[in-house]
Amino acid sequence: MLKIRNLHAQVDGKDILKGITLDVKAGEVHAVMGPNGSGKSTLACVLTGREGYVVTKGSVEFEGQDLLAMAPEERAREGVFLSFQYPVEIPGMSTAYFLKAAVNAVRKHHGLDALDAMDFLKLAKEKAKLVHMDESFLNRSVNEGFSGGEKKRNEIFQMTMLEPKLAILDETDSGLDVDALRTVSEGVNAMRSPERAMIVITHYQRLLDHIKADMTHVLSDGRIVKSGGPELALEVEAKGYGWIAGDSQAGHSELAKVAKAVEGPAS
Amino acid sequence: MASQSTAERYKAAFEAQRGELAGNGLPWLASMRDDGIARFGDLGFPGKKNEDWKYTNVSSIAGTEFALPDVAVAAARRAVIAAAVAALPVAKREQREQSEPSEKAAKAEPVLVFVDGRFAADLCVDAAIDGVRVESLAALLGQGDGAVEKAFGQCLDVGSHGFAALNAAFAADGAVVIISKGTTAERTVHVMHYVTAGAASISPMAPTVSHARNIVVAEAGSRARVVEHYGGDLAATGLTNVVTELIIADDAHLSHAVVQSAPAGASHIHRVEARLARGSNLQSHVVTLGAELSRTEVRVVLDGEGAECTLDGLYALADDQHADHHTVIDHAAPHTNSRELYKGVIDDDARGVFTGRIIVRPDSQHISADQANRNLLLADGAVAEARPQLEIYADDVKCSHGCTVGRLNEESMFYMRQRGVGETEARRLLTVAFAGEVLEELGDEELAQALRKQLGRKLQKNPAEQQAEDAS
Ligand SMILES: Nc1ncnc2c1ncn2[C@@H]1O[C@H](COP(=O)(O)OP(=O)(O)OP(=O)(O)O)[C@@H](O)[C@H]1O
Ligand SMILES: [Mg+2]
Repeated sequence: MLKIRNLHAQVDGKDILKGITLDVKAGEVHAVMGPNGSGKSTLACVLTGREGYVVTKGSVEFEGQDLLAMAPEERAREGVFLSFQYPVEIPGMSTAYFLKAAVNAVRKHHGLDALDAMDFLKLAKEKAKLVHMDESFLNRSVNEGFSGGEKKRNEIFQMTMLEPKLAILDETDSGLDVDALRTVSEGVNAMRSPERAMIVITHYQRLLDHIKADMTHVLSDGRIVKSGGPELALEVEAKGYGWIAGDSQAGHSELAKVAKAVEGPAS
Repeated sequence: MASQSTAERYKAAFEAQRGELAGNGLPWLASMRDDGIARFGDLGFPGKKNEDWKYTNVSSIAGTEFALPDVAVAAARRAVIAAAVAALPVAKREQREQSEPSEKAAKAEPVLVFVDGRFAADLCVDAAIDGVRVESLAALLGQGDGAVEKAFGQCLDVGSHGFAALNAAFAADGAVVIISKGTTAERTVHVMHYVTAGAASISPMAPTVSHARNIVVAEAGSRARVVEHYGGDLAATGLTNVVTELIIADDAHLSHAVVQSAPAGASHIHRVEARLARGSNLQSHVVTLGAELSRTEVRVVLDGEGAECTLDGLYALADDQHADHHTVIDHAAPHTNSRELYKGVIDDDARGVFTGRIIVRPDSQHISADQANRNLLLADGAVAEARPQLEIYADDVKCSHGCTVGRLNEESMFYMRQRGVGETEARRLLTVAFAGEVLEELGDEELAQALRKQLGRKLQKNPAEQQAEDAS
């Protein structure tokens, strides 16, 4: 589904991603961990096309298409969803209005009729229940005055409404209490399917207790320095990131070889 | 001093017309009119040196020889104007209630219609509200009505500038709404002023001028809502020079709105003057969408203890539009409160000017005044000028003010696009959301919704897409 090859990216002229290669297949869940500032959110921003993130090298293929050539809204309509680390507040726009515009833009892209207000509300209420979100949120301005946890819940609610193919969850667990963590995880797990993939960015094993990842990657200074199975996350939780550093040289050259092999004319 | 020719031109027009103006035989009115034309002779049109008009150049108005509106045009355009009246958010409400004919008469909201400044009885929507008089000024002047004699000119500061003076000289028609003591009017009173482009078959299509005067008297303890709508033929280029006087007695509550969707080539000068007695409350709303050149003034005198006002405004401008909003809140009595929020959305090469003057008199203690002006610029050529003017001569005053000029939030744009909403649409929705705060304050969801759509259309570069959405 997603093929990232030797991805380099800059922000404000500063190199942040320094050669990321990653394959995510349909049905898989990949956990991405790594110290603060290692580039996890930057990767999410590059994949979703945020302005100001400049790809200097490498390629990203999504469902056989050149993802980097697409506008942010096209990527979203094709099924790329980002649960924001810091969801944005939009005073004056109700959550329902916002989400109806989003759902209908995606439906239109797939040749489906727009949902009318009634059908939309019915669907929204159904999905809100799934993540234990109070219906009254629909009438409130998008994220305005929401608590940190409520904002994250709203992100997952939006994901269940939009049913993306690839969901990138950027620290969706931060700010959640134990109960909220469980309901949000349930919402995420309910979305798991053989056609859908997820990239779960987190610092904590506690989320991965609920959402079982197939693979774990550790990002450091803009590179994936270690990849492994679910046990890698447990190791990180127990030992921190320090122990990987010694290993990173090996990790690097391994990846460098892969990167060289796939670089091709794009770079 | 007006240039000889301008002053003489208007003086000659006044002498020629005065015999035909409604209420011509009333001595009190004749002296007011004489005073008006004399003041105009002194003042002329406001020029560059007038600090209050610093950002607004009215030389195009001063230089135009306006024709008098031809009454025959109103009749010729009847179908078009009737359609415009039917398209007001009020008319929809009435249609919906036609399913229950017994309730229709009780629930319908009256619409008083004026074409080129003249009352058009056959275009009005009649709906009586108990305790509320809704009539044309010309008719009441003709009858020598005592209530009008008492109210007319009570608020207007004739000497403030040439436009006010001209209105004093020429005003002969407009809406009069009198809410009797203790009455709570459950339905809104609507006033529609429609300006035509003339009709080639009838007379040459010259720009015309009208000087309407609207008067609202809210007697003691009454409650009411009055909405003035301004619109017209797309091709109209004339000048509408309106004065609205709001006389608000003890403990009365009045909600007043001016919704200005004048034609793109027209000029609109509007002065709203309000005087508030003890314990009364005014909620003033101004929504400016139309006209090439507009100036809307709201001047409120909080004249009795405990009087309160809120002034909300929204201007959405595009192309070469120039809109000047000038507000004055005069805290002339102690224990008076005011709150003011004007928001501007400015696109293309348009220019929005806001001046907010707050005066607190030396003997006016225990005052709270809160003012904000927020502007959203959508294009590099768009300009916002904001001028708070605080004249505070008392000490026990809580006063805050703030002006901002900014762009659409980049994070919000990305958030919406990441959810699949296209760039143009996201821009439009975020802009409407920015404006939404002011529209919600209208307290009339149907009107707010109609204005949101109108604003959306204005911001839409592809009108066909918007129409499809309106329909859905
Ligand atoms: N606009 C910017 N200009 C310069 N540097 C930036 C900019 N935005 C981000 N960075 C830097 O890019 C690096 C990666 O940031 P990123 O947000 O991707 O980290 P992260 O792995 O998500 O961290 P965290 O765990 O704290 O969320 C950081 O060093 C950050 O300071
Ligand atoms: Mg981050």
